[in-house]
Amino acid sequence: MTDPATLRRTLDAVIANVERAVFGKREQVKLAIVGLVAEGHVLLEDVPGTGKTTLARALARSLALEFRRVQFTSDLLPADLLGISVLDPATHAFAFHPGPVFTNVLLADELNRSTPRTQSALLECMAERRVSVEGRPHELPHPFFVIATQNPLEFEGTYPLPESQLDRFMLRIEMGYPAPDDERRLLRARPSSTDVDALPAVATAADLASLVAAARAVRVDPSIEDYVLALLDGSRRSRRFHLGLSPRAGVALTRAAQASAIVEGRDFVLPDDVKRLSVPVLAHRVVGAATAAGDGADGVELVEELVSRTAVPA
Amino acid sequence: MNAGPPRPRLRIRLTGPSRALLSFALPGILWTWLGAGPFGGAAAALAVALVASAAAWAWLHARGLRVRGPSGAEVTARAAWVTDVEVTQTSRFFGARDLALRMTGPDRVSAPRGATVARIGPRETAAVEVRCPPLRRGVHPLGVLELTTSAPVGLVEARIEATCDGQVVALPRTGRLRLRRSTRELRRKLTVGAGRRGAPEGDVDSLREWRPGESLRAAHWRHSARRGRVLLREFRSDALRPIHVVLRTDIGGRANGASPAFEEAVTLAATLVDRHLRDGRQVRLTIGGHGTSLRCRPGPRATAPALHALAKCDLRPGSAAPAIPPSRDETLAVVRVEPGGELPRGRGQAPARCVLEIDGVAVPSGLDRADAAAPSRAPGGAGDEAARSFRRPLACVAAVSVALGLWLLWSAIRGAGADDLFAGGVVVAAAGAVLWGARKRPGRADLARVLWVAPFAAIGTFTSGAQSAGAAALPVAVLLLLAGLGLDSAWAAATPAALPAARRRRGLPESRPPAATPLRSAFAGAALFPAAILLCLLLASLFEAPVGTAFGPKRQSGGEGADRSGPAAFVIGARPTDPRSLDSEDETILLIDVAVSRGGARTRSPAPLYMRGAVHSDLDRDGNWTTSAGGLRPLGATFTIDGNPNIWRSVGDVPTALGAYLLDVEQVRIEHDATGLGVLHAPASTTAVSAPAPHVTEDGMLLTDSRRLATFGYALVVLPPAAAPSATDRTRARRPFLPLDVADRHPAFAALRDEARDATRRSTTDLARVKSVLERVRSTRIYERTGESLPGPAGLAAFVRDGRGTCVQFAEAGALMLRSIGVPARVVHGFLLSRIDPVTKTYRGFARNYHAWIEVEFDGVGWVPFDGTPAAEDAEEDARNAASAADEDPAERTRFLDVAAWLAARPWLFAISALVLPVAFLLARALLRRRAFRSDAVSAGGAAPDADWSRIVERLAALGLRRAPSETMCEFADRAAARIASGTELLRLAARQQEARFGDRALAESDRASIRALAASI
Repeated sequence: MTDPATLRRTLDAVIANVERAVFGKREQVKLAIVGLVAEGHVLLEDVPGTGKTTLARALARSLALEFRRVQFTSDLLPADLLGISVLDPATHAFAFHPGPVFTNVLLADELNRSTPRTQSALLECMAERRVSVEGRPHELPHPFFVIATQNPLEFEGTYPLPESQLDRFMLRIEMGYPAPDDERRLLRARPSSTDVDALPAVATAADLASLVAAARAVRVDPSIEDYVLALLDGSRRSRRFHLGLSPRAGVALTRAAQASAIVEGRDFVLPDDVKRLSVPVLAHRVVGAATAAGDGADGVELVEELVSRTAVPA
Repeated sequence: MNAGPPRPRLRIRLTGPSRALLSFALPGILWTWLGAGPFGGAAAALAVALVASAAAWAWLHARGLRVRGPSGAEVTARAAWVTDVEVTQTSRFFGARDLALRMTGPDRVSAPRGATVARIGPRETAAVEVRCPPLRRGVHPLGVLELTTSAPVGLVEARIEATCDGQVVALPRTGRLRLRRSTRELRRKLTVGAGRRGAPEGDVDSLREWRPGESLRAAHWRHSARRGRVLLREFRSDALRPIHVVLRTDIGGRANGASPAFEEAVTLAATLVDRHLRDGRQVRLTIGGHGTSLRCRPGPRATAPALHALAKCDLRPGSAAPAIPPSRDETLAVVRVEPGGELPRGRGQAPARCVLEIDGVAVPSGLDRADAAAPSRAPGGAGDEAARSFRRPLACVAAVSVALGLWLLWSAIRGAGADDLFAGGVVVAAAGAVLWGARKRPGRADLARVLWVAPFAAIGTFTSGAQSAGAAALPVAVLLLLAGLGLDSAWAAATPAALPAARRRRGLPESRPPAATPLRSAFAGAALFPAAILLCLLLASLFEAPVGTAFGPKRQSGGEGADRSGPAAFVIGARPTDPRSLDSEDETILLIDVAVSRGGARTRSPAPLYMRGAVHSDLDRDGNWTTSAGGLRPLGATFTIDGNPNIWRSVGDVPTALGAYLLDVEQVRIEHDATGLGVLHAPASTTAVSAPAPHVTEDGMLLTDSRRLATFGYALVVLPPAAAPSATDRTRARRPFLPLDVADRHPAFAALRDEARDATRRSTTDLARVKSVLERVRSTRIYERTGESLPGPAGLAAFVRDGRGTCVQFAEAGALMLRSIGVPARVVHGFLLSRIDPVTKTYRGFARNYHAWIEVEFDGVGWVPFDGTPAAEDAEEDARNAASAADEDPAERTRFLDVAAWLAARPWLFAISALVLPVAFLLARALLRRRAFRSDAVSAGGAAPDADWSRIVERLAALGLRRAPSETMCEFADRAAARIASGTELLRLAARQQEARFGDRALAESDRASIRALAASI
């Protein structure tokens, strides 16, 4: 077990490396790393051109992970993702050709553009880390992360993910536009897509594995557990929520808090971790009641309201 | 099977016309014929509108034909416009014979040959059984089922069930609905043809095995991968290839529900055979277990042998599966029954189902029950469509209401009247409520309820007594508006209306169908009603029905600034000989429009209107007052219609009105000649119609029916002279027009003459003389409302003797007295009307208003009325205290009308309330929501912070910095650090404390000391 200092150094190096490609998005980078360390999948939601792909590629490059990118279109079939069995005419036998999902970091661009059939194929392998084709299972490589992107603006011609599928994403990160100074830096640097490929690797998969293990070992005080449970309970009982938080949400929140503690260099979870991660982890899992929707309150506002009304452990 | 040949039964159920439809058409029709008030035309239009909406609803309700499923299942037909249903033939079923079936509706029952008949009343269902003679099993086509309708009122749902004992099979069928309009009746013919649907629409995805040497171009890779061997797709074009239909009658093991599944299988096989034969293919039919193998070629009646064979087959559980030699040239379709699997948790066995395999590949059979089920039953399916189809008509009506309301407002602004502003504002608001309701997806039920409420609201409005629709619609519409708004919003808040949209966006199925609250829809819909009233009034005004002056464009009528304070206008009417001959004193016999009689100026104060009936200007030898004949110019008006004089005709020797005339009073122009007589001019286009009744009796009585008062909404007016007599005006005596010497005629008259002379001793002017005489009469006698006294000298003698009498005596006495002193006076009988209905601005004349008074002729002025009766002074008060015809409390009525008038005079109140009410409502909703969101304070629990740290927290609290329950210690420390001197120390110690707390470590002693020090320093 590596000590926290080494872990901290590793993480700082990774963050710094990624920031060479993605300017001014420290929080989002940290959140993405939290997702990786917590072994969860990340949903990046934002308007086009804010650096989602860059972030994913930079992260993969920094950790020396294999990176594949799949552009989801409406005619994408599950076979295109998972792989197909092909007839070899010479031997009259069927051989399996793996699809792009057999990688470490999979960037699923515009996940909501594909049909529900393809979406469910991806989500199934996200959950089980295993692909079944023609009745035969194939294991996905380890580690396996999916970074999915969605454009929150355009709903025409999309198949929005239902709540049960959204629940599988541990974190939802919104990139947002960069700050003016960072944008100026961006204009000056005028990066091209190949610049990301030039990033060196500053950590290995083994480092990542130790980070993951350390995150699992982070101490969660019982009062923190109570706090998380109080949040869940509050969402289920409040009339503002039509769909409250699931137990999976609680587990995700706790693991993300542990990972966040590691990223901050601690080996215990503070309520601040939980609070900070509440919106990214919980906002996409809830459905507001009609009254809430009538006010225009979306998941983010609802979760913020919920957090502001729940007492934290002192 | 063993009980003899089957006796199939054909049951047809028809439900009678919807009661609701009749119930709301009926009041509208009744109301038309009641013809209340001046709105008879409007009521007719309203009834028409109601019936038309009922028609529209019924038409929308009828949406063609739904046909379901195979054997034993229902064939549902829905026919609109039916009360009278004739079903003349039956459908093509197996196992029965051609017969004609007829059913009739509630009115007529007819019994054609060989069929049974039922009568159907509203909401009843009738079942008709058609018995067939015993048959051998087989196929016998039956013909065509016809539903004939007539009398387009009502709605009937027809359901045809064909049940047979499971021995015969009914093919699924398509229904075609043909509409044939004859001059008298509307027919809907339902032809039920043999199955055109059956096997799945579109290409049958047939697959077959690849044989070595064939090209792989048509390979179906997906299925091939699944099966592990190569399968080729077969296209339609390359088979008009024969099809081999195999019906397997064996079934493995005992199966739950095998019989219906088998029936389905038979049906499926039959449809395949039928269909492919029609498509021109050759069909080979094999029925396993029966040894039947048939070959059919396409042609007329090709299906018959196959269908016969199918009709006769049944399930043979133990038999062997038929051996099917593989054939390269045929498509193989195998229909079999598969037992259902085990249900989880030991619930037994699932029912068997029918499976179709084409070339070894299972395809959906297309005869799925769910497939054939009515789409509108599924929640959120075609129900949505129906709802959408109603949204548009409602929105259209609401838009029309808005337009009407705006038009009213516009005419009000142009100077018409405050009550139009009122009505316009109400209508716009009500229409707004309807529009708001309309966007919430009203359904069929909502529209029906709208139509339910509307006629009752109409009746209530009209019978409330207020004739003006503006004032009448006001309380009803305001109430409905508020209720509709309130209920609508409450409903919207309570129901997750936005949720279905959210769920749909995320791809989830809708959890529940949108429910329409009856109350809400009724109120929101009934807010339509003022719009309906106004629409009818608009129509009525277009057709020039007399709707009174409350609506319509306003024109100034007559009245060139004549002085209204002078003598009242005179009206020509009829003279009743004896008021006691009327049925009741309270019977309304006259209505006079104030606008005309006052020359167009509206007045609210009840001013007495003397309506001249007959004029007595002569005394005969016996002392009776008569009208003179021969040489007397008939007193009254001559009026011309476009230059043609129409003179009052006399009946007997009493000039009376010739029936009643309907005139457009706005067009009437009155001219006066020098003597004060008025001449009426009316343009040629004026409708002058003699009303059949009221009629004139021989004695000159004009009898009317109070319900016919609509025809009296006018008056022929002789306007009074422009000025009242002044003191210097002289009366003029004319012989022999006014015989002056009356004393000789009757002894009683002498006493009156002396009295007159005595009264006028000190009078200098003629006017003063008149006044003093009348004063004397008034003050010395007592007025009785009704008495035994009669006109004429006998009554006068009694008057002189007893000192009491009715108005007739006062008038006669006064006239005699004036004549005896040389003043030309005459007695006029007529009506004294002093009560004006402020809403409709008409005088209402009752029998008890019969009155007699005096007229005196002044030189250059004309005949001026003077009332000798003391009661005349009380006329105004009388009017206020008199009970109205409807026995209402006038004080209350006045109050309501005063309030209405007060409100109408302040239209800005409505604008303000239109702003205030929604704001108040939104505030209330926000408050309610805040309360709903109050979640219980959830405490996270856990160990209490240690004592040292809590001291710091207390010290900070004393400074006014309190930690919110949802604030973490670090956040609180961040906030507090800005406010105290040793902020950085606080931050550092907070981090340490949290580490100790959540990291399960002990605080270092140094840290503890620092915390204590910090606590002391704050």
